[in-house]
Amino acid sequence: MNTRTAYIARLNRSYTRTPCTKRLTRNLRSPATLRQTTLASAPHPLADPDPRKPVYTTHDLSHIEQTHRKRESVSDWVAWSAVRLLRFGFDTATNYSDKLNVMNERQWLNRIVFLETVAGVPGMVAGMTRHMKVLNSLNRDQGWIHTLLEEAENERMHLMTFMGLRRPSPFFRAFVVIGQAGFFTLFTIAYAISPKTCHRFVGYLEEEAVHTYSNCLLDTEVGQIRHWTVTPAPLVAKQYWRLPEGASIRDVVAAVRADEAEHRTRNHEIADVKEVEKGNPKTDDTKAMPPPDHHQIGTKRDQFNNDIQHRSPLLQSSQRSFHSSRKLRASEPATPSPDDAAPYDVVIVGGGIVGTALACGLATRVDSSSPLSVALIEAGDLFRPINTQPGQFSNRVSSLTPGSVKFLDDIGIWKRLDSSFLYPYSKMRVWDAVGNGAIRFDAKDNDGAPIAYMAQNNVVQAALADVAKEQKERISVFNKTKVENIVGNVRSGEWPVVHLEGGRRIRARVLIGADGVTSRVRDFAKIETVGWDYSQKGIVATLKVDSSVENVTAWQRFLPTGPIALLPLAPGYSSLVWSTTTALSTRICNLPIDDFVTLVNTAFINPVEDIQYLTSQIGPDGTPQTDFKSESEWGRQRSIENGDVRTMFPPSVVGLVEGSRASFPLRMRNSVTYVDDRIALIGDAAHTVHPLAGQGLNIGLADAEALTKVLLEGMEDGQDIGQIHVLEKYAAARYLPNVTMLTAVDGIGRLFGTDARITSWIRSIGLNLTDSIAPLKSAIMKYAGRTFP
Amino acid sequence: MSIPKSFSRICKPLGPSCSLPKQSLLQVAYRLHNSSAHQETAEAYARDPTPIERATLAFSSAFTAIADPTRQDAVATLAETTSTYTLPLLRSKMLSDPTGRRILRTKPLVSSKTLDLPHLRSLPPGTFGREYMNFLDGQGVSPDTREPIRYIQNPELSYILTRYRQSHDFYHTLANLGVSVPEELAIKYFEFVQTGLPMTLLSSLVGPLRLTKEERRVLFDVYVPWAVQCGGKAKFLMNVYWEEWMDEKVDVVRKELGIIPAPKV
Repeated sequence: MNTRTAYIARLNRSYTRTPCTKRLTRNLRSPATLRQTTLASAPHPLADPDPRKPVYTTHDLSHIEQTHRKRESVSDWVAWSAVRLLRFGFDTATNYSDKLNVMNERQWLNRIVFLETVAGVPGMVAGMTRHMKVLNSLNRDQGWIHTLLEEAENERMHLMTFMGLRRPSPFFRAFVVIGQAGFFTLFTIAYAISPKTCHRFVGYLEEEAVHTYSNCLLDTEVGQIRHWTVTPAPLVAKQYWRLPEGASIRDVVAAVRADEAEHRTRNHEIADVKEVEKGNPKTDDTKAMPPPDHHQIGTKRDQFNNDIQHRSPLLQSSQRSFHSSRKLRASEPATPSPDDAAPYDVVIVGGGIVGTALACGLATRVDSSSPLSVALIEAGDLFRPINTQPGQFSNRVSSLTPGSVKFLDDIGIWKRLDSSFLYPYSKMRVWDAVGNGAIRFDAKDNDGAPIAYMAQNNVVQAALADVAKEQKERISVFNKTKVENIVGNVRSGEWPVVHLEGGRRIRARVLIGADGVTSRVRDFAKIETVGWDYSQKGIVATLKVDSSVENVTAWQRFLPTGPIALLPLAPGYSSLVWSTTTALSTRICNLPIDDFVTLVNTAFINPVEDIQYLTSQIGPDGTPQTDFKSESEWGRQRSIENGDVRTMFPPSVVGLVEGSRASFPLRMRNSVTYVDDRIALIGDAAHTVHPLAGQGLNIGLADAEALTKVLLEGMEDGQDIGQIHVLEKYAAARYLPNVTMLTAVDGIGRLFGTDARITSWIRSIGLNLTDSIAPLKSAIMKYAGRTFP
Repeated sequence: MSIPKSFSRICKPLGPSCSLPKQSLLQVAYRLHNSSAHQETAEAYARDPTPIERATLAFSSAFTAIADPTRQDAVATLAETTSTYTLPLLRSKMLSDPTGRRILRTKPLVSSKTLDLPHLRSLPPGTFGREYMNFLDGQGVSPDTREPIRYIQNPELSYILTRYRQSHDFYHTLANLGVSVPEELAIKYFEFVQTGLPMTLLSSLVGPLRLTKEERRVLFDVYVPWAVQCGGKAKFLMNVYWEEWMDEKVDVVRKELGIIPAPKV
């Protein structure tokens, strides 16, 4: 009680010198304040003693400079203008004046409390956003989040301190709530758009705060709040800043100013560092950034500095340059094994298009002085001669999107391909057999470039095999060689050893599974897959089509049993991909050719009931049980008589290239992970997708491209490229895009896989709406073609 | 009664290609109260009603039919104006079936002209044709009493509804049900389960209101369970070429189509 009496007595002494004593008395006598004073010895419950919190010396506090960072970029100007605007608004709203001895205590407290309710937002939003981003991008945080949250915490403590001096009115509180809601929302949006600008904004905002608090300090000397120099600081503040006994509110304001100066410097730093991070990572290592200038606020806090340096991204990058200077030799085994198996840096199991493209990508793009060795194992014949007769088409064809074409061009394959085997198409028509939904893509939606190129798989494969053969000092091809077994405890750092047919064994620094849906490598790594079989099969065939019409359009019609697509191969020839139920696919493949052709035409042109009827009239051995031609013609005739308007005119199919009919099961699969220690999966080994969007090979090539880049970068940095930390960058680059694509394709399949009326109605609206929005169509094409920046 | 001009204009179609009716649909609806006027109005009508007109017709015919269930023309109008979404479904079912397609290709009609009634009468007892004639003669009805289609212009959909109406007596024959109101309602329930036409549902729901307590008990305890079970289990009867079954024994026909006769009360 003695303490309390003395305290109030001191207060009363100070009041005599100031005009506005009553309000302060009332506030200080609020229960919370009284409790503080009576429990002076115990730690205050609100105070959060942070061991990292710097202890300011008197010298620190009195030597805070009002600085201003020069505005250089557009984002600096945006941030600066936003701060000026905000400041103008606040000044007007709180009746603030820069002149001395104008503001009374109430006005000062209003301004400070309101500003601090807002000031706590940016740190929290930035920390939160950053936290979410590193979670979803599977990246490292590099020490940002804690710093940002600390800033928010610090601002909150400012608020707690000043709240002890002023109990806000309900009106003021409402104002705070609205202000916070608005500022939080806007700042979150802005932070999602440009974190750099936002940090610069906070930097400038804190410049203004330092300015304001400096004015406030001056006012405590000459203005209406002179009593702040003697009013004791609230206990919560004393504990937080560890102020000496007898510290006054003025000291608190000075400490707050020091904090704001600290935030100012920090946020400008962050804005600068982000700029460097976004720049060239190669120069990042060499570019000397000045160390954070903590002398500006002149605080003594070695512990704190250590902490910052420990978490500083700048320091981390300099550590990286230290590693890269060591330049690990790529072919030097990290863990020598007492095994006579020949070591290779990269062993690719599976010489399909994706696997061979990876081998070629590594071999052609690696630094010529680098001793990279690649082994490519193919069970079939990689160098199988292909039939290049005109009119001879393999039924295994793919549509290569611009993104895939670019990759093939980068690794020197594209220009080797005989252009007569590449057939660009510039139009795409997709429509719904149930309802009237339709969507039309044209080259103009794709900036005039072809939508995609139809290419026969074996032609692309042969060109890749040629390059692999030429690169024989880098790529060892184990052709017509089966993998018998894969052994090795990769978890304990061993390299996996591949046992080949004929007793040969090779060791892999990194083992790539490019061996398709039933991947041996994936089994070895015990990587599970998730997904489902569609209980559907895809029927493929090469068709002769009416050669009198220009064959430059890809056609796809969604039937309730699955989509049917007609893809141009050459004038007069198209490729068929028809997804249908497993039971029907066998029957359709066994149909006599004439009836098959009739059925395909029916499937593209007739009402959906006719297709259902005809497919129901095929015997188990493929014999038609009704007159296909007559039923199909009558069906078409009656639909016209009943007012059905045909809007799509695919070329009529006139024949089938003998022996080109085949079917394959359709499934969706995705590996739960694409990488493990010394293991990476690409292409169909990693994921399988429904062919309705023609994306399977394209996302496989995207995998090969991403893995090529990751492995080459790893080698440049002198890292062991079998390390999961290197391989994880590949998974991070491809997992989300692949899952998105798989999900989108599966969703489209499901949406169209039903003829329920409400669904067909919704998708008709959706298709037609999409069709009428050109930018949306353009965006879809860019996404599917991987041509977006 | 004169109809305000502005109101009749609303009911007119917007497209210039449609031929305008001589009388507005509101007049048609009004004249539903007078059977003979209705006949002549509808014949002058040569296009599909607009949605507003269709709704007007449906409501007026529904109230007329509730007031006087013997007004076959009102029931027929109700069926035509409410089946816009159901008839294409029936068509889909028919197009997916060999016999259904044959029926749509040949479009057979049931009338005293197309059926050789004396020949059917001369068939041996127990055949479907003979049973059918027994039903017609016993109940004093003729296959020609079916209402013509007035408000559906699409030839195929119009035919399907005609076929549905003309098959009605075959259902009676197979179900072994007469023409009393509870029995007719039993057939209506059966037809609703089979076709899903809204008019059959409306009849099934409104019809029982006019029954006596005893009749209602029979309907819901005996006929409705039968109609729901039998209608659900039986083959889709729109895909039955009735004309080809005349010589078969009626029991064979029932077995083939999966119909059990309604229980006798």
